[in-house]
Amino acid sequence: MLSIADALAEPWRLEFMQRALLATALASATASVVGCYVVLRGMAFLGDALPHAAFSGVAAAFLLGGNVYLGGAVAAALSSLLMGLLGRRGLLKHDTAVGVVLAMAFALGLLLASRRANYAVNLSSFIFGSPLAVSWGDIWAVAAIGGGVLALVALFWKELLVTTYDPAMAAALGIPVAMVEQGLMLAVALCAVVALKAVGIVLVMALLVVPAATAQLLARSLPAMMAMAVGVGLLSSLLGLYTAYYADVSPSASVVLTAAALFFLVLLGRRGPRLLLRRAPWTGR
Amino acid sequence: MSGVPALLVEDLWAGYDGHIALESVSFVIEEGCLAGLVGPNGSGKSTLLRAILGLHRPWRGLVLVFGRPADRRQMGYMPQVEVADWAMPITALDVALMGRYGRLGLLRRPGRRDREKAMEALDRVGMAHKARCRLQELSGGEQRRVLIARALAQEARLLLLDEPFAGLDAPAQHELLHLFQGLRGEGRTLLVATHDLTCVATHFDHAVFLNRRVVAFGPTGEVLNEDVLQKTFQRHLLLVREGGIYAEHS
Amino acid sequence: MRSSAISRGQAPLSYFVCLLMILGIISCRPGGGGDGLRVVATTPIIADLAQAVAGDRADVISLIPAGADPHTFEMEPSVIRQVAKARLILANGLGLEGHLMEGVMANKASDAILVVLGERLAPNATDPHLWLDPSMASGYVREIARALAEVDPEGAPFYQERERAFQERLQELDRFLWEQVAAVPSENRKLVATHAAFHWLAQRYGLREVGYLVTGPEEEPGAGTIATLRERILTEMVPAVFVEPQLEAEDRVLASLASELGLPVCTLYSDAFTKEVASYLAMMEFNGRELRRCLGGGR
Repeated sequence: MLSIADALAEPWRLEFMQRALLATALASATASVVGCYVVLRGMAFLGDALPHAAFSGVAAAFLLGGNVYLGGAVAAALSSLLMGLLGRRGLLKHDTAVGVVLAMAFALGLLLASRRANYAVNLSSFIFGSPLAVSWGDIWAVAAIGGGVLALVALFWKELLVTTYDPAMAAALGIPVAMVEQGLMLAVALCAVVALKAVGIVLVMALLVVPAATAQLLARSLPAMMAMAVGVGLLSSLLGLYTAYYADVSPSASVVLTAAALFFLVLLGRRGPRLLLRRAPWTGR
Repeated sequence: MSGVPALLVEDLWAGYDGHIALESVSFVIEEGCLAGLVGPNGSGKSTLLRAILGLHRPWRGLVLVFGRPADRRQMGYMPQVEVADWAMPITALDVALMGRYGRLGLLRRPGRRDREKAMEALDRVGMAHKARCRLQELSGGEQRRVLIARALAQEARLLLLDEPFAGLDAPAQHELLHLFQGLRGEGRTLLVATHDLTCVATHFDHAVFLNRRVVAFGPTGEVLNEDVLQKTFQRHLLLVREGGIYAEHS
Repeated sequence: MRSSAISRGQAPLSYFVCLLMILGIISCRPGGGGDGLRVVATTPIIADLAQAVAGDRADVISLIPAGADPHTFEMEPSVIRQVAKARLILANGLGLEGHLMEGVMANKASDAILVVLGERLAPNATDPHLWLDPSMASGYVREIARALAEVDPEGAPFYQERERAFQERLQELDRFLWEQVAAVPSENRKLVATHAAFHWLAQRYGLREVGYLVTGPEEEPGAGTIATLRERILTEMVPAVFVEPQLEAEDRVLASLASELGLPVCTLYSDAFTKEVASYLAMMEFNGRELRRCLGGGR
């Protein structure tokens, strides 16, 4: 019978587990930071749409033998521009614009995938994640892109703060609001690329939203919220990978479910007694 | 006090999608005035303020602030409160500090001087002791004052405020009014959009009556009369004159 | 008011004429214009074996394209059309073709013959990759010849002759493979590959199946599975691991595991051809040489 210490240390003696943890941790740290803006601005749908849109670039990159990260980033960036354009001109509600572009891009990806000349390639690993198959090269790429995204967030901290909190005022202060919004969408797109191997396209949204939502319940300021979100993300990665190792189940799903479990724990801790015992008061609305 | 008016608007036309919101608007506000911008809902008050700030492109017209073309970073602005996000984890000081961003430009962080100015602004509105409080923990009136502190932190001589009294109870409104009068006393100029006619009639020294076009502008004592009110509010107003107080009724 | 070229009474008549014309066109079948017999095989490997027997008397088409993995291949409209037109359909069965089998059953012509080779030869087998054992491939070829003769009785002697010739080549192949394995030191005759496809090959030539990364390609290897496999590779002192060309994603996991342990990564063909290796005989010869080379039998 293994001692607790042995059980805790065992997975990390294996190189593929070390790589899986690094890739997932880097992806969730980046996504947690960007995710704070996604949650505060009510952009969760967008946070799902852009990764799906990235898929078309991934499929295209495979068909053309190009770099998957680059393909995904370009597709997501173009999609975000298109969404912004459609939503802004007042043609469509922003929500609708996002939905249309998401459907189109993802289906295009599926179409390209079905036409692939090289059948050896299995694109489902990008849809659902394959953290156990990441290489050191992947980890460098993730670290570089993730680092870039975080640097941009730090550089444009105050611009992001004002446009998130009060867009009307932001414009009055001379901040190019549309550009900042577009830049944020780009950051989300890059998060999708960063998390491509770790959790796959479908679950990127979870890494963006869940840790940040958990942090929002606890934090009193935006920097604190980001720090807590990163903490939740890293903890989920660690615990999720332990689960995947010992229960031999999908690592990406385990990480996301762990994050969700943490969210509900915190929610119950904060609001639990009130949620469960009191009926919702009649507000007269 | 120089002879240059704080705000000069001449023949301003603006609208959306072919609808005219402002038609040949012209008026002047002298420095050191507390002026009310009065009109019913949909009269174009917000559009006018935004056009002055340059947030909304007018079709034609001239806007001069202290004799120079308007630069929005030098006008204090308090937008309508509904558009801000109150769920955000942000302190009063953070909000006040935002007023300094206009001077910083891209990529620069607020420094110690900016922080000092923000604290001064909070102090001016009486919220310095709550600088570190989360916005959510403050009352409606206190939040409003923090927003004004933000406008003050911009160190502007002209302040534009859009419906600052909306949703506040009477005591809170009075507090704000008192603050405005204090600011005027310091030599600042305030243009306050509001549909609270009574308040304007009683406490403001100048008024601009707007209903797509300027019905009248000038010192309240001179322009406030039944004819002007009828033209501004049309069927919105039921005149009840009792001791000089007018009531709006739609 | 526009004047119409066709008066009211004549409109229904013109529609009817159009309908007749369309029906006429549809009913004209692009007929038995082809030279040979239309034979369809589910996998390229079966197609290759069938073509070897059928010679130029039949056109053998593979439903699954070269290089694709039969376990996970999804039906496409063009594929379904081929199924419907075929007079003889050759399949492997035993779970190899996945969803494709349903599609074949549903869309084959009522008078077409379907021969499920794997089920005929080893009805209870768990590993469907029978052909990797040349003695089983021999059975495939025999059944193929029989089926061809049934569908095309005139060509029976032709098919028999070709079958006989191919059986000789299979025997040569079998000898060759024995030689290759014999050259490998017995303690090295251990097999680790990407997916569980080599039971029949291992059984025939006395290789020990140490472990596979996944049972079937549609699976995702879990962390525990990978760890267990790693453990086994170490304790059994496996000299090399083998990846398969059509399973790139899973191959990467196995390859990175091997590189961590400092083991060479070699290739074995199982379910699919590549551009370089495009026939059954070529594939098996390659496998033989690769096993010898990588397990320490020298060149």
